[in-house]
Amino acid sequence: MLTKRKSVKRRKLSREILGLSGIAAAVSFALFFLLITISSAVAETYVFYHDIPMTEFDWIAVNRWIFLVGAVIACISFSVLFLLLLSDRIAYIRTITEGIGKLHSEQKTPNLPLRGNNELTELAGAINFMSEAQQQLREKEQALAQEKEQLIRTLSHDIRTPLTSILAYSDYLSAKEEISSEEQREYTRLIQKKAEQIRDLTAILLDGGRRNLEHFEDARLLMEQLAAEFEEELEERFRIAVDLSACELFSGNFDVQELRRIFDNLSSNVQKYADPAQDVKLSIGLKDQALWICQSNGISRQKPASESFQIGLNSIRRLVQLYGGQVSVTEGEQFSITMIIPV
Amino acid sequence: MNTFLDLLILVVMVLAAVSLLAVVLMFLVKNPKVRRVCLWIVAALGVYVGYVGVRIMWINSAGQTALAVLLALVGIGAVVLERVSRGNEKRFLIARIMASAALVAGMLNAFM
Repeated sequence: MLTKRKSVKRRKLSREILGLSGIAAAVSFALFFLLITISSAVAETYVFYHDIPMTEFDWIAVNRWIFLVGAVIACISFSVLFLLLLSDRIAYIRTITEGIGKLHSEQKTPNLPLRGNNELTELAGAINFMSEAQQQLREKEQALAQEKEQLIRTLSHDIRTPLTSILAYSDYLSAKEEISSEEQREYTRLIQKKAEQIRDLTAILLDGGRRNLEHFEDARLLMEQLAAEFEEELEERFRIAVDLSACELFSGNFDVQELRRIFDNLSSNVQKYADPAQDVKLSIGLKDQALWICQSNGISRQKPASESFQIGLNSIRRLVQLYGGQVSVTEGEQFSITMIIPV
Repeated sequence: MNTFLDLLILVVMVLAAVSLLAVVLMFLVKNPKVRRVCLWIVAALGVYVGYVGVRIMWINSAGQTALAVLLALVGIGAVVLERVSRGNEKRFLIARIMASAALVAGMLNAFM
């Protein structure tokens, strides 16, 4: 948060400098008269004690000498006093200049001290405010760039899942010598569905991640459909146990694409890392005004084809967080993920 | 014109100028290092002026001689107080006042 700049009545720098010169002048005048007084007294005493004969002209010469030396010393003392009194402000101007240089070259906040109560203080305050604003802008830009990168990375990963399915179905169709028209229709429907999913995800990428929330009066139907798609995706290689008994009738606002991405990531992880010998469980239920989605599977002992960068899990976390929900993952003998989405 | 008189006037003026400047700077400048240096100068001049006063008044006035000695001791006391006043602004202020008083009073005592 930017520090608010308070409006304070400030003294003018010119008046301060005038004041300092006044003080220096007053001291110099006082010094001048003091010098003349002391010197005259010393001269008289000296002449008296040494019995020096002095004419009127001699006294005039002595007095002129006293006056001249006194004036020169007073002028020198005025200069010295004035410069010394001004040195504080000159040092402050130097500090401000160095701070501006630091801001320009190193792009760092100079944090200038606020000394005195004049235009220089205001200048230092303005520079601090400006550099703070610049710093915040830089941080915002960095955060936006990171968010953009993350979105691209996540969506690219999520696009890969339906694309993999399309390739799998296409390979199957091209490899099979004889295929019934019903089977052909079914696989074509599946490929079309996955292609539409890729189209929708690409649209999200181009739109910059805008959400498309829809209200569902009976969101249980949506959950059933997603569970069915999850089962369909994996039933060839895995034994799937889907439990929707705890899923009562409920309504809510959901973005279908986001939920589909969650389930796609779950099925993608199962395909890559699950043990086909063990059951893959999926349960969806309603508890404490929240939607609970739990998925678990055994972990394959075989080394996976590609190393896990946790992009799928992170994508799930981010998507669930959009609904204000939370995700918990446990890994040991079994892999288990629980998503709790408030409805 | 008497050369010795000219030189004497010059020395007295320079002494008085340096004294007054040092006293003023000791109170007006904010830099603590400059303040300490000025205090040392003022105290040293105060002791010197006390010595000059003793030399001048030795024969003529016992009272003024004693005053000159006292003022020199006040100057020394100011330096001691400055040494023990590290971080204590109040003590430092008292030390400065003592040194200024010793110098100004010493000059008035010796030359007036």
